[in-house]
Amino acid sequence: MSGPAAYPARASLQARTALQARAALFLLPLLILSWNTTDSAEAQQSAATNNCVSCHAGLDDEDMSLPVAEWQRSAHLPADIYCQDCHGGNAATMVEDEAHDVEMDFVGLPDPYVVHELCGECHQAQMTNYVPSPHGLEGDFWPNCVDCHSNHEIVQPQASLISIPDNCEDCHEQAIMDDYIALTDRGLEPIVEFRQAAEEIRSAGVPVDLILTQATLARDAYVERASHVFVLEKMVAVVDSLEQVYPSIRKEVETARTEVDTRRRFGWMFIGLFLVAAGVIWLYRRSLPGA
Amino acid sequence: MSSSQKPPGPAAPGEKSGKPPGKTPGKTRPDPVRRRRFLQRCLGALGGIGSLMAVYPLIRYIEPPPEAEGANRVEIDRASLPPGTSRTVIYRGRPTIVVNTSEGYIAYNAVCPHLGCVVKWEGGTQSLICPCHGGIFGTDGSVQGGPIPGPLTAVELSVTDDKIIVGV
Amino acid sequence: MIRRLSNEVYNWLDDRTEISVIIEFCHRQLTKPVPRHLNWLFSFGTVTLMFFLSQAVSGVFLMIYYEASADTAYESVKYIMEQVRFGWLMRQVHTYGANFMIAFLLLHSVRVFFYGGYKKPRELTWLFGFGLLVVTLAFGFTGYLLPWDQLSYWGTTVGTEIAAATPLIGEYLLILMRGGEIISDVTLTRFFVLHVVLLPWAFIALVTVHLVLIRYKGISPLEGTDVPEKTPEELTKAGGKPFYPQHVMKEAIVVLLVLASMIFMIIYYPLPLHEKADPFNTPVGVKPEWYFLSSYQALKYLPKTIGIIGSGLVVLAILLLPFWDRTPARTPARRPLATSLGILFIVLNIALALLGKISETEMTFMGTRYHFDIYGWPHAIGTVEEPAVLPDMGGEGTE
Repeated sequence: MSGPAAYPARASLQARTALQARAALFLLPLLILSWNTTDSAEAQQSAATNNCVSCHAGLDDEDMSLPVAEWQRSAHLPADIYCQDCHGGNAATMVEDEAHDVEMDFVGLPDPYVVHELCGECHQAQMTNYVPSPHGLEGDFWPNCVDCHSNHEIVQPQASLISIPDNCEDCHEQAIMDDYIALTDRGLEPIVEFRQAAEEIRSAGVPVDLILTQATLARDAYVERASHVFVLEKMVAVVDSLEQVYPSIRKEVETARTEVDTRRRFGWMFIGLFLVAAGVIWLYRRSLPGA
Repeated sequence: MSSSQKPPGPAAPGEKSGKPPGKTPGKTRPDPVRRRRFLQRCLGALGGIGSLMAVYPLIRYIEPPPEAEGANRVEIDRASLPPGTSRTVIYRGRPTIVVNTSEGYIAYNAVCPHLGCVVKWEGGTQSLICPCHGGIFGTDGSVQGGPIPGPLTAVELSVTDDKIIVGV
Repeated sequence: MIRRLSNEVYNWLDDRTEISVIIEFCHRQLTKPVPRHLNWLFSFGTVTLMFFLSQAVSGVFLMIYYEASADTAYESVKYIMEQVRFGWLMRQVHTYGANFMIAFLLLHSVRVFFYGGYKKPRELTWLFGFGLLVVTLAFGFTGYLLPWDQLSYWGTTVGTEIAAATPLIGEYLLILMRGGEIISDVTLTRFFVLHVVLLPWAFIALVTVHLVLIRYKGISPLEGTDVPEKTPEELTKAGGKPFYPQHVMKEAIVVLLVLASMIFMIIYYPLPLHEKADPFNTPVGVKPEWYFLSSYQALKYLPKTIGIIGSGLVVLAILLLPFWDRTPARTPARRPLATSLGILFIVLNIALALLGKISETEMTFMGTRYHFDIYGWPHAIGTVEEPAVLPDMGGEGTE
């Protein structure tokens, strides 16, 4: 992403929120990359005993209760990330003052300049790439994590996050955004495709560990080297190198698919034989005397 | 499940099996005895095909399974094999002896060509000996004594900074 | 030529073993007439027996590579499924075969119940059949642990826990079954021995007697026990057909169709091997296999001791059925009380099993998300939109 135009030095909170809102609105389930399959029932149970959740969910003030509902739809609930992980405070108490004790690092609204550090506690690779990027220090941390990913209703990353109509365009030309999207698709879509194929093949009983391992390696390489760098040239290099390994994974997928087909064909041979034999026996039975 | 996949009509009893029926009765009432004999033959043939098809996977099942990747390659730490010592490893399902001789590393299929005993390294005489019938082999695998029909088979071997790799 | 040779061999054998007597006996038994009313429902027993044979063959082949120890069991099953040629087929045939066998055994019992087949003079056949049911369920229970994955480990844990509720000896019984406080290597080996040594021989012994009794007493008629049963000659006169080939052919057709459907399930819905058992990590919503689900669920509603005594009494009642249900009528229509009780019992079991199935899960119904507690009762846990449709937080938002 070359030569960003002059950024608005600091967007108002309103503008940020509007941006999040549109970000969420245009999310398309394109790139489902986080593969966490934690049981949501388990998370639900512990969520019920989290005091932030149980208290805030029932508040009349929507500004105070809506975040709970949003978080419950987010990818953070199944990943066991709770309110206190970002907002601090004491989730173990029901006493309002104790719960929001600043001594326990309670923060109502985190400073926009440190948001990336909060997120970076877990999303380290992303933070490492983001800080020196044109959006990081250089861009005065604008946009920051929540500007694009939203704050509470954080869902799995999507390509559409890259180009939020009317927003990225404030600073970037649409043509650049299109290049950007195309590049991301080129790098990540094969991984999504491999994983979907692997799931399908696995459910047919053929082992796919090798495919999944290779797909995860590719994804990790992308996340570590290309995501959140926001410099087109760097990304091109990463995606080009990834495209070197994709054919071998694709071949792996094909081999597994062939194995599924072979098994099914073998099974159908038996089914056919059994059905024909059943038919012949039936005819034979009818031909017996007195039938 | 379609139990009615085959219409029971009296016509053309051989339509499904594709086997040439002796003589299929046409529109006239079929001769039940002949018809039964034909169907019996069909059943016999189907039973034969069926048992062959069932036996095939069973035989394949008890064949040695294909080795997992990397099994036709054995790595040994060089540090664990000081000069003058030997180690026997399983390589491609066979015992393979690796020796650190004064002239360098050697590796042979350790199965004696005589009657299949596993040879040992004897540092004192710098030779490989078979404990069963006194076979003696030199470090080049050649026969140097005993009722041995032929030399030991060499196994591919390469050496890196810290590892000895049997196989490729 | 061949005929003369086989005649020679036959005569040679006959001189030494009187094989002709045996053959003659078998032939008479095989061609004994069966009553006219024998329909397709009367083949479930044979289907079960066929599955026993199939389980025996696939089981022996699985044992070639299976290693019964906590360290290696899971890996060896994985090895069978992923490395051994046709290993996947062997394991699927065995796993699916187990489920099919139990299903058809239950169907067979239900059929016998509704046709009054257990009534005098066939009480013994019923008792041995009951024994076969117990042995088969024990097969299922012990075999379920052997792959040593999370599901089998924890399913067996909750399953054996039921035994602990037995009054007085419960705890002792549990320790005896598990060979310790928890399911471990020791449990695996004793389950393995039961599964591959004791139970097969028990099954063979019981099924032999069961079959001999059926052949000896003949198929149960539809008339009541107060009417004298027909002799074979009378049966033939009344339109009865010989057991072989007429009825055997019918059974063969059913067996083939059932096998075909099993193969279909195997190639399109293979049963997975889950993650390796982890004694320190209980997954959510652990349940036993479907055939134990109804009793497992029933025990949840009752205090432990009452539950176990109650289910014990139910089992005893089923076992002794021919001795307390002594009404002469056999056909379902002539004994409305028994028929309705039977239907009630089946419906109750299915309902309990379904409740067990949905308990401890979540489901979205008409836009509301429900959590089903351990009793299977739904609790609304909020209105959740479908995850695919993203919520319109654009409108209200946090502005």
